[in-house]
Amino acid sequence: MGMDRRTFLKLGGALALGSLITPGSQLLLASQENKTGNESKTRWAMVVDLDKCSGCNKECEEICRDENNVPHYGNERYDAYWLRVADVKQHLPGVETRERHIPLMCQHCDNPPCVHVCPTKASFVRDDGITLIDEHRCIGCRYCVIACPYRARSLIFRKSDKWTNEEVPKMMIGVVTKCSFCAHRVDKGQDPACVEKCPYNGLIFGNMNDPNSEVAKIIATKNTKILRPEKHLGPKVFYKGL
Amino acid sequence: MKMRAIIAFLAFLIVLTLPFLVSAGSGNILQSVQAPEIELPDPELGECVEDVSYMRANHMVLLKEERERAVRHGERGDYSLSNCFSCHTNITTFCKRCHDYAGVKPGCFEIEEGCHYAPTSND
Ligand code: SF4
Ligand code: SF4
Repeated sequence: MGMDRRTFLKLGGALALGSLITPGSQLLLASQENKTGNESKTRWAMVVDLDKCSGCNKECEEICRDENNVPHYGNERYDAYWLRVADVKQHLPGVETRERHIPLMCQHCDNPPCVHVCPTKASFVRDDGITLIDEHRCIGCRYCVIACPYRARSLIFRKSDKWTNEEVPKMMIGVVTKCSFCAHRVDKGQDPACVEKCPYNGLIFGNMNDPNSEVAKIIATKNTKILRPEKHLGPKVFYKGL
Repeated sequence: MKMRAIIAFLAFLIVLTLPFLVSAGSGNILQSVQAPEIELPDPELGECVEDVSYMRANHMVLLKEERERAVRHGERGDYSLSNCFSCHTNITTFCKRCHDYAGVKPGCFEIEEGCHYAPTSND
């Protein structure tokens, strides 16, 4: 036994200090490292052309609900939203007031806070950049609902009977849901339902890592904006004409 | 004294094994635990994704692994529930007969009115 009492205590102290620091440093590392999808071939992104969106009857909201069985009870307190169209008016002196309609959905962040806070790893980012929720795993703690700065997530509070699309599972009470970029359609090579069915073709979907794709070309023109850029989350929904 | 203890023990043993003795007396035990009859799909639809004995024992493992692949990696393959239902078109006469017999509830479509669509005899 070569170690004297003093060395032993010193080592113990160092160990305790190390274990105190590690969780914090891991968090820092995770926020750096978790930029998934940048290197992989596919990175799905969406461009919303606000000049084309007329706000119609907010048809995309209905299309989305029917495609993904999102319940709609007609009560703001319980309604779940995957996609909602915000009506925005800007009053400026001397400028004609114009109403804009901005479709808002999960922005599929490169560095999503919802995934970082999820205690069960139910929220995750797929290799192609789509942020998803494993509903078999989600315990409904709602950490992610609070973490998401875009208010993209909602908890299913009430039992839902809506089952308009049998290909997609019915929504289960007590789990959090959000826009999935229609992952079940994307995996089959189709566009998300809202993109396909928007009557004004205001939504464009594609692989932003492929320079020949339409979204990559539009993003390259730098005419697009992302929402809340100060958060540095790398959202993959781009707004044209904002 | 010793005799009384032995008799008491024997009586206890008989009471303990009474259910087994009664069912043994009422005929062939094996006959009363016949496996349930299930309605198999049309053989013209082709082979199952794995052979029958493997599927009988491991279908739940395959489904679970497929679920993990589909949800986490977007690889939707042959072992999915919806692919099962393309041949097994009625869960009441196929899945449920065995599951009721084994006392196992398939979580996919039964527990708390599960989330996945399953074809039933009502369809
Ligand atoms: S928009 Fe919200 S829910 Fe979507 S990935 Fe970003 S933080 Fe998560
Ligand atoms: S509600 Fe579900 S997805 Fe959200 S943080 Fe909790 S376990 Fe994760």
